[in-house]
Amino acid sequence: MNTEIEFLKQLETDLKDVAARETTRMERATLQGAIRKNTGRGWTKVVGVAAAFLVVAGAIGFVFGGGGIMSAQDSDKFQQVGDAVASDGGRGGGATHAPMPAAAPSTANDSSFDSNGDPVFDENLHGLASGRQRQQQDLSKIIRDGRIGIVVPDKKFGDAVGDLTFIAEKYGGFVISSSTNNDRSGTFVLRIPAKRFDRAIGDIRDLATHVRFQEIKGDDVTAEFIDQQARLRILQARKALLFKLFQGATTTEEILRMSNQLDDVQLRIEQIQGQINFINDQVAESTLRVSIQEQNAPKAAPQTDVDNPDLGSSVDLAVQGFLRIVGAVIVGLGYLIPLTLLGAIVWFVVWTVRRSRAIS
Amino acid sequence: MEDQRSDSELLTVSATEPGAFAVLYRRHAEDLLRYFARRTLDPESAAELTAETFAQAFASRTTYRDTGANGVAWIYGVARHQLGRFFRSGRVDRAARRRLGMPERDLPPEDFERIEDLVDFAPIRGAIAEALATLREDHRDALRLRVIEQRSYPEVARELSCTEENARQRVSRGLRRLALVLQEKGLQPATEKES
Repeated sequence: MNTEIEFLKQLETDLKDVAARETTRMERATLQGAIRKNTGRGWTKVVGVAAAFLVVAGAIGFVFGGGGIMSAQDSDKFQQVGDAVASDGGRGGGATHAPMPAAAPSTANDSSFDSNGDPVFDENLHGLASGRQRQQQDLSKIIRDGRIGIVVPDKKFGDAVGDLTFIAEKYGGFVISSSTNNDRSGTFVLRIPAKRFDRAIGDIRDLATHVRFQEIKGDDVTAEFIDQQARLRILQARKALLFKLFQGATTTEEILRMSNQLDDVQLRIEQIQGQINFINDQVAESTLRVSIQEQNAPKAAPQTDVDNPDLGSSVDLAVQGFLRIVGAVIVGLGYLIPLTLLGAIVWFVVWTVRRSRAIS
Repeated sequence: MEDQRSDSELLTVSATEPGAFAVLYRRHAEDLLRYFARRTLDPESAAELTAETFAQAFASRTTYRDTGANGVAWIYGVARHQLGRFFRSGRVDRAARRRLGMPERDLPPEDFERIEDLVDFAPIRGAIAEALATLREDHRDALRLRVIEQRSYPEVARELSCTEENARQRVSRGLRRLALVLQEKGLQPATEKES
């Protein structure tokens, strides 16, 4: 620039400084970007490989850990249901949540119960069951509940209700409650002895032209039952000891104190006995909700006793789903890590052999 | 060696190669200063506006899109915007220079006359004489001596019994005020076409 104006010369210097600073800034940004890009690319690869590894592990876990639908816990529960409750030969198959156990021999003496109301399993009829299995079966306390929705032909609702009551009585159960809608549809709550539960469901299915839904759930309360029994035994021992001391008491003060303690222990024994009885009762008899509707019956108002999803159950389901996936990944890693190590060893051997050949 | 690239190319390249902007500056700085001087009549304001325009253009160079027109037209667009702000507010914006970290520079004394030389007062002397009445007395006397009678700054300083620097300031402020008055009256000080 051929100018005599000093201000313009100064301004040119200033602009050059700014341009130089800008160039430096851009170069630094480019360098940092490249570093970040390269570093990021490295991390991306590591993360990608790790993610792929976990996905494969999860897939393997789902395949080998119960078909990807049931968790190991569910499988156990299902197994306990199958073991604890005698099946009617799989007639009531098609359960959505707890599939029917494999066909087990039917008992000849279905109404056999022990003094606690527990179903008694005849060893002769469970010919294939070992003694240990039988012991496990006897200890298991499973509360079974279910619900089933069936469709009957038009104008057959009354007959179906009659048949349902007959089925309940036939298997030693009864109808707790019922509600009907225009004599064309209704809901019934049945209590059925647990060991005849599956046969009852099978008979109810026979009434239907179409089964809308069926769901059977098993709740394992064995641990709670054993816990209560242990408490009961301790309290009974304590009661016996206190009774001995009570008999040996000589002063009024001692007698009163012992009496109070005995009363207290007795009260607690009765409470625990009540809980044990309740569990036995729940185990001995299953609750079955039956919805019957005619083929072309108008849709009834939603039943309040039907398990509607709520926020709490959704959260539970979400947590359950998350834990299942984590569990599947862990199971899969159990398979994948040894396989990967084996592969690495094979690769190392092959690589070493090739290298030694190349050197020679 | 003279850079053969066109203004548009330089502007485009300067987005990734900031040094290219200096070539553009060297090509057009004096013309832009003249452009401002003939419109503001004030060397100080013209210099400040030139600096701010180039700073603003540099800061916004990445937004330039080559549409086929000469790239310098884009810089004159920035210049017109700056001039409009100057006439509206009566002062030169410093935002772009501050943002770029450019130092504040006063106009060197010798540049006053050099920049005034860029302004061709002849066609606007009549308008200036009419507008003088609106100015403060000290500014009016300074302008009359410097612009109408074309005295040198030492003579103006002597006549007004002040320093040369003070005489320049009076002339500069008087001219700035004069340009604003002429602008308000709709009288364009500059008569030449823009580049």
